[in-house]
Amino acid sequence: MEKTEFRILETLSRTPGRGLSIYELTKQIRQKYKTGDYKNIYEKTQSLKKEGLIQLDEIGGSSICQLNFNNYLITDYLAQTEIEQKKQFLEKYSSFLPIFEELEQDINANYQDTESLLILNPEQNARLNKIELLFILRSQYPFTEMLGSGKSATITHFSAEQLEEILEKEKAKLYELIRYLKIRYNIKSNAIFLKRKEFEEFLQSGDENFIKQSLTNKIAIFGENQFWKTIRQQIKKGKQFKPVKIKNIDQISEEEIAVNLQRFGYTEHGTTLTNQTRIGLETTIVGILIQNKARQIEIIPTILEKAFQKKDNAPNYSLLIFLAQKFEKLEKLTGLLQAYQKLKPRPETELALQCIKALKIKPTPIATRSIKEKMRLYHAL
Amino acid sequence: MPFENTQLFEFLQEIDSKLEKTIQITAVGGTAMTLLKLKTSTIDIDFEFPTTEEKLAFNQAEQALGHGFKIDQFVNGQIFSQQLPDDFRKKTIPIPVKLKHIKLFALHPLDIVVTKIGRLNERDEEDIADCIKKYHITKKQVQQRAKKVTYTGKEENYQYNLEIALKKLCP
Repeated sequence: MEKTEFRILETLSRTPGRGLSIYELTKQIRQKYKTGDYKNIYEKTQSLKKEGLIQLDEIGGSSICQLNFNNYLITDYLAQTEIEQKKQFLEKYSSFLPIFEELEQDINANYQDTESLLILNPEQNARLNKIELLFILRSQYPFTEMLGSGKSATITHFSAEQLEEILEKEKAKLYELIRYLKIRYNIKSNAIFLKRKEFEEFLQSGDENFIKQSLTNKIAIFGENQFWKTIRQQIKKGKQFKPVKIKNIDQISEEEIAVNLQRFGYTEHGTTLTNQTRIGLETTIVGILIQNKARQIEIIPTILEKAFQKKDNAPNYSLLIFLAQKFEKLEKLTGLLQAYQKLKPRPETELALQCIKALKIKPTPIATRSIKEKMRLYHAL
Repeated sequence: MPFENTQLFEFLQEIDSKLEKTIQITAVGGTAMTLLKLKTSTIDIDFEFPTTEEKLAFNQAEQALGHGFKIDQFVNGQIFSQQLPDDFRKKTIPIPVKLKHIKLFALHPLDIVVTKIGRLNERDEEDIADCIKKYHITKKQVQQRAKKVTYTGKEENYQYNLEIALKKLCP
């Protein structure tokens, strides 16, 4: 692929549901690659259009380009851009090569339910000696069950619930892998583990969430083609996945937290609420932990329980653990989850605590009394 | 992972982006040697700050970034177990960096030597030998400088190590 064409596809791939004007496209290319000629980019978009890889629509006097997911080959081209990005990243940060190699070997040997693996915010994290990963696990038949010593058997006779349980346990094992990476390579490691269905739900959500945000700055280092097939499936289903304007969690305001807490079943009296952005539950919880206001921290088990009661809105513990660890609040979150589990035991919470245990986190002790009172007050107990 | 200069500068760029006012950082130990090209890489990062306020500003930037480096931090010339003489800052070597809020310096190799004498393990001996060789540091210079250092551990241990270093490593 020619260099400018690669850069056009790569830039458009960061916001796959959204079109960009050629002006905006040029601006973003210049920002990332420090070079970009408008005329050259314009010409290359015309040739990519001829190949059917992008769509060009005239809107309000501007040419708006976006990826053409109706083209069968688009996922192959996008997979190529991921491979090229991986290559460029490893040329710059060669110390990550053994990590990538080991991850791929481990996935092939021990974690065969991994469909795709993304490295998030790769360049900034490399500069900060960090690695953040998103594992997308398959959520359909056939599942594999590990029989020990790297052997596996394809099992198809379990029920859907049993298979769900197997995948959840696989997640717990994967946390041990993350801890191992930290020790072996002396690098701060963090990961989210989502079943494909969970990944798709985050993309479709109307809320700001970290998963949508992460797609604007990632490299697929395993299962590149499958990753783009998943994205294409979503877009072709007519589920317009358009990343909303995302704020960093540590910049979420008190007012935004208050508004979103109301959505999750908790209202603070005396708050004047204006129209604010919808923020996902997990992001809201970590925002509360960052702001460190005791009365809001105490409410976290309540809003978790209310989310579980809504069934289709259950919290995603994998994302919650990831965000808490990212912002160094996992010790406190663990203490809260332990308190919550004592008051209202749930298998999901138990599994989350097992995953955290694999990370060897020392929980902050939390008094359960005021949490219990709040849960009763808000009918969560 | 061992750190090279490029990695260090990239990390400091990230820190710089989070700072609101200018701070001074003096690299000490292996970090200083890497910046002065006396060695190619270092395992740990060691920084000294003139004041507690500057160290706190750095810590706030660190917290905002959530980095994965292990950084030993010292204040006002107290490096590991050695308190350097007051004039050490005048001897530090400026490291040119294009940063808005960070003024970066490296400890002078003579001061690197005297701060490594307190521990004097095998790695320290190699580092001391490199500093002495590449900066043509004499035995007399080490002796005189070491006299001005205050050791917070057992003084006799420092003296014992100093004698070994002078005998083994100084020409």
